[in-house]
Order: sequence, then C-alpha cells, then structure tokens
Amino acid sequence: MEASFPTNATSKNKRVGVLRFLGTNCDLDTLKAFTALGCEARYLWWEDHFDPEDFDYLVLPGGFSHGDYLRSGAFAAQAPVCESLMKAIDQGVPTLGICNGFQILCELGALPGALVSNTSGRFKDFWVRVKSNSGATYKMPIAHGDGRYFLPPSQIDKLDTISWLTYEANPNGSFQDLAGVKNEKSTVFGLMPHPERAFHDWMGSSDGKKLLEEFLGV
Amino acid sequence: MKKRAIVNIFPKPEVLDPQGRALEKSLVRKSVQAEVLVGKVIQLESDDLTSEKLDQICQDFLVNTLTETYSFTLDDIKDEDLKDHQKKA
Repeated sequence: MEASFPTNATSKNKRVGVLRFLGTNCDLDTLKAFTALGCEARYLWWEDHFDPEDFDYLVLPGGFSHGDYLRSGAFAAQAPVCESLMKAIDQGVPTLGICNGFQILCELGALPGALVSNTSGRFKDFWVRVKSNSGATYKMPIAHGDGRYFLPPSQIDKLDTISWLTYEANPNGSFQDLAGVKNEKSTVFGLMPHPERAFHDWMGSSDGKKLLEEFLGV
Repeated sequence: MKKRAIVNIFPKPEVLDPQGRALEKSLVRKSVQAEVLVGKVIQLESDDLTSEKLDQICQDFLVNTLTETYSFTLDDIKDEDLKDHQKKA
C-alpha cells in the first residue's frame, strides 16, 4: 500500500480539493476528515473550473450525483469541474474517488472499467473488510446499489496493475472481488467503501483514517 | 425539419443484468421461458439532429460503451404527428 501511493507533499497544509456535485452527500464528512488530517481542504463546485496548480490532492466524495440519472456518475462526468479535474489528473495530481466518486472517475475514463448494479439488485449497506495489494486490511462501511466492478474482457491484461483493494467477502459480485482500483500510473484511486465513515474508533473503526493518511503519503 | 430519435440501450451479454434475470424467473410462473434483457429507451425530438451527431452523443454521454450496446432510429416527424404533439402540449 505505502509503495503504491504517491508521496509528493511533506506533511501539513496540503491543499485538498473536494468536488461537489448536485446530490453529493458525503462532502462534509470528507472535508472534515481531510481537515482533521491537517490539510487545507476546500470545496470545488460542479459548475466551476479550477487551476490544477492550486491543489496537491483532489477528492470526489460519495453520494448520488445528479440523481445518478442515466448511470451512476454519468451526469457528473459531463460537469464543467471535470474538465479541470481531467487536466489535473493529466498533470499527475493524486486523486481519490470514494463510492459515487469512484463511479464518476470510471465514467470519465480516468479509471478503467465501470460500476454496474449489484448482482443481488439490492442496495448494500454494511461493514466490510478489504485487503490492499500490500497486505494491509481495513474495516470500512459500504453503502451502494451500483458497486459491482466490471472490467471488460479486452482490458483483463491490466488487472495486475490496476488492482488495489479486494473484499474479503464479495458483497456485490465485483470482478475479482475488487473493492478499489487505481490507474496504471498510481495517481488515481477509486474505492467503494467509505474511509471517511471509519475515521474514529467510536464510528466502529478508524481504518479509514489510516487509508486516507496513506493516500496523503503521511 | 424536426426529427425524432429513438435510442435503445441494452446491457452487454457479458454484463449480468439482475433485472432481466429476475424477470426470467417470474415469467416461468406465466409459463414463458425467455431470455430477458432490461434496457432503456430514450426519445429525442429536435431540429438539430443528424445521424453522426446522435451517434456522438450516444458514445459520449447516453451510453457507457464498456457495459452497454445501443442502436437508434432517426426519422422526420410528419406534419400530422407534430400537430398531435402540439395539441397534447
């Protein structure tokens, strides 16, 4: 895990941009989590553009952006803010997508594959354990209806380079038990579980804090 | 000339379609054995559509070509259809 994350900033005052779309609902939790980690976190509105130079990290929180109309993340991927996001990703700004944020990154093509409806057809909302490709395990909650990771047969050769987190017990039918994937350059990460909802022990686990710290290279 | 486009979108065979599978099971109770796919239909009425433009919109936005297939028809709307439509509106 440690090796798979970029370590481009030192410690304090990392500038984190948290993208907000209509229907994003984990924005405040995500902002608070990064603020608690000593970052200078601020929101980025879906209609706006931003300068990639102004941010060290970008985060797409969970929710149901634009009602998840058409497909989860489809409308968000068309939003003006994503033009700036794609520029930032091209420049190598480390980017994390949580749940709906993961779906948006896949819709944008910033991560390979797609997230489709759970095999059961049901919304799944409970705690899961996931294992990273470095062997670390994390207890975090999931809450999604479209969390089944699908990698087209034509891209299966990428599996080893994009695999990041796997479920101990696959809750949604994801290909190869994948709960999180990364891009080939290891600058863009997406996961279905919610690290911001597992930030303090009283929440049930603080493993999400550990994961976010690792994303920040702390 | 105003045109009407009908876009049909279906999950690809390699992507499990839970709604289709559920329908298959239910239809057995109606004595029907069927392979079912549940997709969606999008209708657009516009003066600005060409086949090329519509295809581009499908690939960029309406369809995720990793998981879905699509087809569309694009036809002129006849005068009488338009009048009906305006009456309804």
